[in-house]
Amino acid sequence: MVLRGTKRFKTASILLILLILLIIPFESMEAEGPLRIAITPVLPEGHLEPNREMINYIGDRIERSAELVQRRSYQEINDLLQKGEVDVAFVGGVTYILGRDKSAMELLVAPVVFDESTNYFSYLVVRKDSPIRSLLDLKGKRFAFTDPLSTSGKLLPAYLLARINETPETFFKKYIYTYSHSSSIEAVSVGLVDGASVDSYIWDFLSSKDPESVSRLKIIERHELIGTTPVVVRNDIEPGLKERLRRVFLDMERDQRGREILNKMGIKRFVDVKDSIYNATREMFKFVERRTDPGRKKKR
Amino acid sequence: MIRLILKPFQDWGLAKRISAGVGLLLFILPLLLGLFVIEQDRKVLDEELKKRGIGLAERVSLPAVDHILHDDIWELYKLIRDITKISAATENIALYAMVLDNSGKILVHSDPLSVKLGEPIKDSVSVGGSPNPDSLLSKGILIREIRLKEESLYEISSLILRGDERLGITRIGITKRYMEEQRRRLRRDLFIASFILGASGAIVGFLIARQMIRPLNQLTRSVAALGDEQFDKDIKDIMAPVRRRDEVGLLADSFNMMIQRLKKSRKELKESEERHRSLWEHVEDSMIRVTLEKKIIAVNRRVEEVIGYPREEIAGSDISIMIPDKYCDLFDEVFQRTLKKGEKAPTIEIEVLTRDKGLISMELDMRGVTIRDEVESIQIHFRDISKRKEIEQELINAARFVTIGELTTDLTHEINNPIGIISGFAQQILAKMDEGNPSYKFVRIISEEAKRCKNVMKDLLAFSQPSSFQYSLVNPEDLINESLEFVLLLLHQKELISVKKEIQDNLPRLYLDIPRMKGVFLNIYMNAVDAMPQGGDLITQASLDGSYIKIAVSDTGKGIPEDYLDKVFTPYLTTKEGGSGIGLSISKRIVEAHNGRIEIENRLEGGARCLIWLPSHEGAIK
Repeated sequence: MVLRGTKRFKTASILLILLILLIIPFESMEAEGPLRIAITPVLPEGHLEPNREMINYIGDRIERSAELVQRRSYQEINDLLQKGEVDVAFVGGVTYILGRDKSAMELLVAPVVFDESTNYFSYLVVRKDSPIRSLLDLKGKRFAFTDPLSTSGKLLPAYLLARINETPETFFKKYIYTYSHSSSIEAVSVGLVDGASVDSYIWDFLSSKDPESVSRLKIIERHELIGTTPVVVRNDIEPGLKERLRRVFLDMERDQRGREILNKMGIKRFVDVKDSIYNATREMFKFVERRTDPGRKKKR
Repeated sequence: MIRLILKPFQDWGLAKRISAGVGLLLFILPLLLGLFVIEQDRKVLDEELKKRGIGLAERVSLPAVDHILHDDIWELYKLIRDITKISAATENIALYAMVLDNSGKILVHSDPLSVKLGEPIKDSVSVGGSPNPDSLLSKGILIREIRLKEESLYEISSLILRGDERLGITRIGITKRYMEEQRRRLRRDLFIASFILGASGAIVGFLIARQMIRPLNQLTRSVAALGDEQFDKDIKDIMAPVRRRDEVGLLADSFNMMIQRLKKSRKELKESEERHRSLWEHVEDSMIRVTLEKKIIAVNRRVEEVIGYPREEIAGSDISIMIPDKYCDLFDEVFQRTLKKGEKAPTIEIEVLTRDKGLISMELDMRGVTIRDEVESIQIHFRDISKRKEIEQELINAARFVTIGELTTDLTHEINNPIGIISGFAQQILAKMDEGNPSYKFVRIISEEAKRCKNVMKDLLAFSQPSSFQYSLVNPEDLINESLEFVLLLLHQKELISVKKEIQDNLPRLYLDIPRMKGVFLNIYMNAVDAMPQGGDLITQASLDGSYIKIAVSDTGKGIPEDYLDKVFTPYLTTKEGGSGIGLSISKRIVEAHNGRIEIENRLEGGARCLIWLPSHEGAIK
């Protein structure tokens, strides 16, 4: 009797445990899956915390878990959007115009970082002790681009060179890609390259958050660019979600938490923008393409 | 050498020395051991460092393949930047890192400004530049030791390989600074640890040693407190109060036993010293002990009495203050002889200068006081002989006086007779001779001169006649004793002569001229002593013989030759060399003047005997 009672209890226990083990995974799964947001490390290493806070904020606001997807280059993010593997992405101007051409993404919002417009600058920076005073002085020197698809970090200097019938290959002794503006700043600082073209937004961000990192550098040329780096969504995103996301971004400055995150990121607010503000970028891109050797092998 | 080093520590107390020794040992031993281990460990550390360097190089080389293929200079830079940063976060062993391409050109460098990027590096290990870099890098790794800005470091070169294809070289400069710093730190920690160990060892050693030595100190205090008065206390009060069962306890026991023995022998010593002091103080001689440099150490009471210096005053003075100049040489000579031989020098007679500048005749003996065969001091005996000298002089004067008187009487008689005859016959011739005779005048002159001569002789006799006898009563025994005393004073070797007396009790007194009779006895005694140059018995017997007192003086000498026996009282006849031969004849006359009788005979048992009969007082009156 006693023996049988114990056996029954054991069996019941095992069944219970199995049941619990089966239920747990299902419980943690969501019906829709998390919202995936892709970001290139625009912000320098060591300052990525606001990114995470922003993702969490967005997730909380749309009442879905949000997942941060980080890639090193814009190209990778472009690919992810095209494959539908991310829902939202922070991209560059060139990325956007190329992605839109392929119908891979739609414009959502753009940040205001300078004055009250969606304009910004591309800074040409060199070391303070350098004799280089203009882009032309950089001939035969080493230069750092950020991303091949970066507007301020690649397109603008390439455009300037194209205007004097030069390409990076002919003009520079050596050029490299750092895939981040802060890396470009570091590359110039340590002497890996002699100059770089960087986003004014990052420069200003570093100047205020980490003055040491730009202390050895000076800006020798400033070039204004129209259309800050936009936030895009996957082309086939559900319109309701897109609208909800747009509102979350636009309303960020209206609540305390959102303002704090914007503040940390050096962004004043997000605004609605029209696709046409990126026309200037399109012009530059085409100009460079025309002048560049069609047979040039594209970097990633 | 060791003694020289240890010398300053010899004055230290035992506890301090033990403490220092233990401390030093506990300091030096672990230090040496530790240093040895650290030194042994150096190679291991060195290998460890190289391994870590290789590890770092490989951490660059493996991912570098991809970056080189993609010409991703930034990632390549980040790789080596991170390597140097990683090591900076820990121990910063990588001073620099670089990646070279196959042509030896620098692709990236951890400090790009310090080199020319894209230019070939100018040293022998760069690919293509060295004699045979492939062999050096046969295992994909090359380690060489280089110096960079006064710093010694290992440069690790590691091939960047993609399969068998060589893409470049990673080179990392690994400093030994941290390894050496680590060793320095180790050595410093070791030193501190050893020092703490040594110091605690010293303290503990000191405490233990002091604990152990405390009874010794107690013992020392007990010994130090052992003054004269301590020894008079009860033995229990002076014994060291140490109650232990260890070696120190045994020592204390032995010490206490020693105290007991010491106390006993001290007591004996004290008694012996007292006896000695009593002897020293009460001996009739003045005694002075001097150092070998003639400084006075001690004097006895007689010195104070006779020479007049209180002992406090004379102590430390030179003995020569009491030696007159004329005796200095003699004194020094004897002193030196005593000093050299340490034995008794011959007795000398000198005069001694007293404190009040008087002179005393003294006989002086010196003897070295030897302690363990070394002459330690000289003891000088001064014997006051001024009294003896006085008596001697007196006797000589008396004898001379008696002798001259008797001699003159003798001579006068001898001369009177022939002159009487001359005078008588001259008278007879004058009576028969005519006045006109030419010879008459001469004979008369003879007669007158003879008469004058007789008168002169008479006057001389009258002058030289010994003073009239002064009679007084004397106990025969006193007479004998006083005479003997003179004789003994005059004797130089009295120890050879054994003086014996057999004097009958209650002898009647004598009535006589004491000085003259003393002279007689002196004469007889001296004869007896002279007869015994090798020593012998001088026997004086006195007894009543009728109304006479018979005094016999015997010697144990060789006796008197038979044919001289009947001539002994004849003047000018002597067997003694240097004797006048009149002593006994004068003695005979003096004895006979006292109605006495004197005889000399040989004794049957050997030697001579002189017999004198003197009438007792009672007899003399009769």
